[in-house]
Amino acid sequence: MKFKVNKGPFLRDKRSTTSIMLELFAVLFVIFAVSVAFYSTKYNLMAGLRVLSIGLISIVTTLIIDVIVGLIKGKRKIKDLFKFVLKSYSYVTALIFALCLPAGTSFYVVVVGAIIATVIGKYVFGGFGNNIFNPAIIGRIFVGLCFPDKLQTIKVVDNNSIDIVSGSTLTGSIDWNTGVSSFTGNDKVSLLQTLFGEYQGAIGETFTALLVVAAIYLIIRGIINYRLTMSYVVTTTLCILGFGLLNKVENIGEYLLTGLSTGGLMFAAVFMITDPVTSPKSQDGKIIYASVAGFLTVFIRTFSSYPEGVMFSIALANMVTPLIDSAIKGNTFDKLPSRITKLTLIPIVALLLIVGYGSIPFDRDSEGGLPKTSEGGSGKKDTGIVKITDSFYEITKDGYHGEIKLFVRVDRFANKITSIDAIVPSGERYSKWLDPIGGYIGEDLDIDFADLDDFTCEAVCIKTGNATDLDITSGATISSSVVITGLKDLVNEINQEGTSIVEKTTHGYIVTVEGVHGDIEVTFVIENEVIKSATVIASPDECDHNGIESLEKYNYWFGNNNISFDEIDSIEYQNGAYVQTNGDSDLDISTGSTVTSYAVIKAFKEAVDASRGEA
Amino acid sequence: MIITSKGKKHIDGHKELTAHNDIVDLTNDKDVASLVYFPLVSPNGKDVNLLVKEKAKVKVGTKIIERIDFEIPIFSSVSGTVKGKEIRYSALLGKPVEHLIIENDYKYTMNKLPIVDYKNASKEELVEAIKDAGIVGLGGAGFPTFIKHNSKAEIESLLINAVECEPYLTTDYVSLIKEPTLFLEGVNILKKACGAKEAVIAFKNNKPELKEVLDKELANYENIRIVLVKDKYPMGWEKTLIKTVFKKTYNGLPSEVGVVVNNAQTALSVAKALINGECIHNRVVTVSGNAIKNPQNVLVPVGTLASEIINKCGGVTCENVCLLPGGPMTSKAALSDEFPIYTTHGGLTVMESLDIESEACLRCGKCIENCPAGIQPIQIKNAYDAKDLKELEAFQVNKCVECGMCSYVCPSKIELTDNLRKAKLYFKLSQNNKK
Repeated sequence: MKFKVNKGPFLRDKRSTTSIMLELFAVLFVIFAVSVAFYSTKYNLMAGLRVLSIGLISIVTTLIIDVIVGLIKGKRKIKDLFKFVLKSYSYVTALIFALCLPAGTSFYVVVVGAIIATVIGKYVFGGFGNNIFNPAIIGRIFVGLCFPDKLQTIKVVDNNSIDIVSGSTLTGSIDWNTGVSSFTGNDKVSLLQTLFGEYQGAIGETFTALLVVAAIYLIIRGIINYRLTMSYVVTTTLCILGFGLLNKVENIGEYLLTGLSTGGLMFAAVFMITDPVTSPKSQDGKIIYASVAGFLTVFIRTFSSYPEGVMFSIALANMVTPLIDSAIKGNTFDKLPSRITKLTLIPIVALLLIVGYGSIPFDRDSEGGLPKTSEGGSGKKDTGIVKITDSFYEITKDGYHGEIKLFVRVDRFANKITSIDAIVPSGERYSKWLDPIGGYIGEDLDIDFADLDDFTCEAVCIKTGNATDLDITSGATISSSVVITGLKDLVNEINQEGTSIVEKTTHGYIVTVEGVHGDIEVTFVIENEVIKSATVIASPDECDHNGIESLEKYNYWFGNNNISFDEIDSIEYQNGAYVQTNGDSDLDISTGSTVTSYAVIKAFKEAVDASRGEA
Repeated sequence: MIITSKGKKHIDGHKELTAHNDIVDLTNDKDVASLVYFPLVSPNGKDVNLLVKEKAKVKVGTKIIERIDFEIPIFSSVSGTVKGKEIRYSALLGKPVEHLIIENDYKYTMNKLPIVDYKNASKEELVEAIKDAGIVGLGGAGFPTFIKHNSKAEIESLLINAVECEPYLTTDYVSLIKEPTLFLEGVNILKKACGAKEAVIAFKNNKPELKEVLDKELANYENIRIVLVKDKYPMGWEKTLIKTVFKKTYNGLPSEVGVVVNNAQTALSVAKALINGECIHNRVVTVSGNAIKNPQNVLVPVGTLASEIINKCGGVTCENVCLLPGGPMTSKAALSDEFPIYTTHGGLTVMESLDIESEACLRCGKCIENCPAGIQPIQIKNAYDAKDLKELEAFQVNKCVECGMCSYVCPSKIELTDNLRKAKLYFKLSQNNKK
């Protein structure tokens, strides 16, 4: 018999970190297994196998990383190595990561994500317990940013095979400002379906109902801290309601439930926000932390170009964790008001700093970043622009599923797009003002030409400014970028034509148009639908054109040419240039290649329009 | 509660091991207490006056030692002869100290204390009598009882703590079941001594038998009521108990909120001293734990060696054990079993030695959630690791009561309580150095 002098107390709770993690893993595995079964039955066996493979690949990858790190750390014996792997809990990370991916994710992307999650997310910080960010979220954000086109959903081809389909997820298709989902027309998702996984999102987020059951189990078993889940859900609910009311959403109840049951919000509330390692230690801290994350989730969804804000919001909140931890001192039994004033200020300031910093626009050109292109996605072909009338254009551009035709009405004087019609092949998915079936959508639009500058188009178009009417919540789809680049091309085209101001005089009109080197002013004398004379005042730098002869002088007398309105009408705008369709005219525009000629002919046309309009 | 810390948690008490068995009287067992030992140092490490000489004859109740700090006497627990002094390990102080040895003649001839007419005595007389009877808090701290009752603060209530929240210990329960009338008399005396309007007896709601027994007697007393509290740890800690019973919180002493707290055993010993003239000479000790063969409650003279008691209980059942003078949550493991039982030792718990391996902090916050003092153990441990005095102060390290809760709940098995003990000491020493 020996008397040991252990450290007290001599009774210890049976609950250990290992048992907590293993039980959490078991719950995750149940959700994973249900997902595999669900994909096998709803789609086909291949889909189920695909989901299974994603999970297994993720787990195996992290286990290999664990073994390598273990060997580097000198765990040579099998027993030591096994213990190291067991107590690194990377398999939990792996499964959470896998459940965040959509079913059509490329396998190598899973491998890369799992490596990033464990190595960068965890081991760089010193292994389990020391990581600042939730490793699974680091992995998911990495693949989300680097391989957005590899995170795809699946489509059943026949009973034995599936196809990987590009397309936005449900969350991406919801316009969080209005609550309107434009998810593919013939595939509308009901609220009930979001609860039972009848839509495609990440593997784990499909079963909101199952997640709620899992949450209740985990809370009762004391595996997750209910304060985190509760606070996160309550904050997101309040924020969704708040933003919904601000935006005057019609069906606020549905808007709220859709917001809560989609986009992995529930999955995050149960498995991500509750990660103890990356959340503050104290109870108050946990509540503040989850509230910060909840607010950011809704904020990012509503205002940013990434509609799926859950990952970013938790990663941002992770950053505030050490600050919250160091801010909460004193006694946890102190009176609540005094604690709250002490505690809330600091995270709020930090949050404002983070959000404020994040909103500073970066000048990409000066940073030597990616070059701006007007081509987006797979719309590789040139934009075909046909001017149907003076203010009505047809844009033809290649979308993912075929040719997209847009009929755009513009207000040339106000420089605005006033309406858009579209003929779009079915299968294209797009935001609210483009009907996938075809036909008329956008009436009474008020899109300034300048608003289009708010979109930066590289691989896809991303909203970088705050264009008002032009709202593409999801910038991730190819179709949207096709449309945005098409509109941009149109505006470029129109801008080349220049703008004009028409002033009435006693004998006719003074039309001011934009030239290359400044305004060009043309004074017309008009009688009985005939242009008696036209005087051009332009900068001497404006270059020459046959029809106008030399513009070397400031003041150019265009002559008493008696040009009839019909002659002006016979000059037509075709494929980006003015073409004289009736050869017999005093107004000779043999080449239409200079801006000046566009401008002057445009001035003629404006004068004719104005004169007719008056008559 | 939903949002903030709870500060208490149910812990399996294992009280059934000893609660329903009779107390085994070992006072006349010749294998036990042939020699009894009294440390010649007071529990707080201060010097004492030795009042008897070697080879002097003593009786039960003979003053042998007087504590200098509070001028209260310590009595011999046996009749016999003073044999001398010896250096031996004391579990009370955690180190070897000089002990007085008395040889037991097993006659237990009694030198009775003066009997007090407590029903007609004034408050001052009662306090004086309690002081002369050498009554100290028997809950574990050993703080002299008379000081609490000498307080000039306005006292509303006397709170009798019979919660016994430490797992395994049942001495209060079995003693009260055995002598309910004497106990209630003691409560009455204490109530009078502190000038309280009412007395509240608090114990756990899993002891209905005790409530039944006391309810029968309560009809004879005025202004004594029973409050049942939940079976949570550390319900027996003054602050937690007062918060639960009176919904009041305080910073320093319970008298701030008009409450005096006494242990149930203390009430019993007051009654024995003032009514029967018996000093604290015998002690009911719970011998329990998961590594003792026959868990039971034993009655032994104060100063009996722990080894003798353990042998009488069948010895230990496994090779590596931790012997605890008290309950498993707050006690420090004894270095050997050759230490004498002191008046405050209500239990001998023998626990199987656990092989505890700490791992990285999960940052789950369970230690913070369950801390009864409302402090943040893991933050204090980190501050102590960094030897950051400012942080230690900001995190209120002084408020730690070493209840053991943080280490108990920690899923990563971090030795929080031990670290907090060290941190407290480190902080105290640096504060002293500053002065």
